[in-house]
Amino acid sequence: MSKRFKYKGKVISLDFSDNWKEIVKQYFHDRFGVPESMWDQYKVFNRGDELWLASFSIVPSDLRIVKAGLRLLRIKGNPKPTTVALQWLSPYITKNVVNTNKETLSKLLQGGILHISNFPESTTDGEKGYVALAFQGLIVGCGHISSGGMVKSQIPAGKARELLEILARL
Amino acid sequence: MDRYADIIPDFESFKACLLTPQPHYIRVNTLKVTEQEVISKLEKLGFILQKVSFAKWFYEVIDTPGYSITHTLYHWLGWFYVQDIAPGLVSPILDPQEDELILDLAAAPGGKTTHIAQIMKNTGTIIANEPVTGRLRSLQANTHRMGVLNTIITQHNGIMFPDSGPFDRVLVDVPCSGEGRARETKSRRKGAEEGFIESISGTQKGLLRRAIQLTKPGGIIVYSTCTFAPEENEAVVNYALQNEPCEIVPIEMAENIPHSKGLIKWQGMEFDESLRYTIRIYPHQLDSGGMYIAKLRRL
Repeated sequence: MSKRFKYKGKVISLDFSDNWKEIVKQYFHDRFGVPESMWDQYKVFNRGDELWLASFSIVPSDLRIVKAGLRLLRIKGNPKPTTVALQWLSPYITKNVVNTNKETLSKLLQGGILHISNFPESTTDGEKGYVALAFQGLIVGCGHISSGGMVKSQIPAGKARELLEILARL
Repeated sequence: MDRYADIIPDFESFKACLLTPQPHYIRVNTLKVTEQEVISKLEKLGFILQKVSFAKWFYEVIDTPGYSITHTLYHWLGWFYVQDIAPGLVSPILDPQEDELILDLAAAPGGKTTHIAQIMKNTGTIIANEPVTGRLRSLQANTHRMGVLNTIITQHNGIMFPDSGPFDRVLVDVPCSGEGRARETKSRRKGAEEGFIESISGTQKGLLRRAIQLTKPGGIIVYSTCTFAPEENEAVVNYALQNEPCEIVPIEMAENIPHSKGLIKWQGMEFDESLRYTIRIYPHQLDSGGMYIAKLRRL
């Protein structure tokens, strides 16, 4: 199913085909251990190079849509999960979690790169790819491990600044 | 504010209250977390919170450990929304049901939109409209932070919102002179300029009329402002009653929620008798901001 809208002269298409949902199900299950059944009540749609999550039941026509749902996954090249998606999936994520503390998270948020050995009790084998950064047992966003086992934050700059201010008060 | 001396009960207490700091309230976001979990985490940080007996999910922030509750990890993660108790009454009065189609005609920054999504448990569809580009950012950020998935954000002039329903329910929380926020902003304490009130009331009438036109017969419209000016409140609803097929639905408030009835006359103007079933929330009654709320049914 695909719905098309006009916004600022451009045609926007929301493509709700089941293939997109399968990609999401499989990716988050394989990489983060998210149960496939948890996607049953949601819709996944494609916009450009991104997959979005939504639960709305109707898409009225003739509306200038600015945004709908929650951005889940960039699918150009290797799939990349968004920080907001990993936060939303926090209760379901069981693997590839890098557990940080105040010091290591602060360094990552300031652009630092740390070896995986700095993160004890993490649930990852250090294999290259995207990981969920956790703090105090809660997923705070997306990170990445390079082939040499180096961890880097992928949390957007604005959100990273906000989180740094929060950490400074702890 | 002196022009309201005849309509606001215990006017001296009202004026004194405007000089006092407004309490802070949070609404726990049950789309993401349980009440127990949030309160337990915040109490460990040193916040003292007290459950509001008459408003589901709301807690008053009684004391802080020396910094704002918005500067916590749990706020950043969208576990709660800081929302005054007076606007916190609006979405429950709209009473959205699961799987319905809802329109929030002037939605930014998203406090009421996210509250509606929470009541609907992320089901159905909310169209959250905001015409002002600069305000769209806060609406998008808040819906994202709160994990709202059933909402489509649109940008239209509300008065000319396209025929896209009909909607089961429409919330029209209009731009207003904001006198009800006088405790937060010193400059509002003297009251709004009458010229501004007159000009904004035209916009408010247009928005309410469009909201009624977009609602299905039998559907519900809630009109709200955060101001005391009858020209922006009862006069606007009275105008809609005269020009659109609709009727007032009495708002049933619990006895423990202090409030006043809507006016049926003001400075020589007479309004429909049914406007007494709309409500006015005054700061000295509820220890909150000010609010006017009317509930209508499309005929």
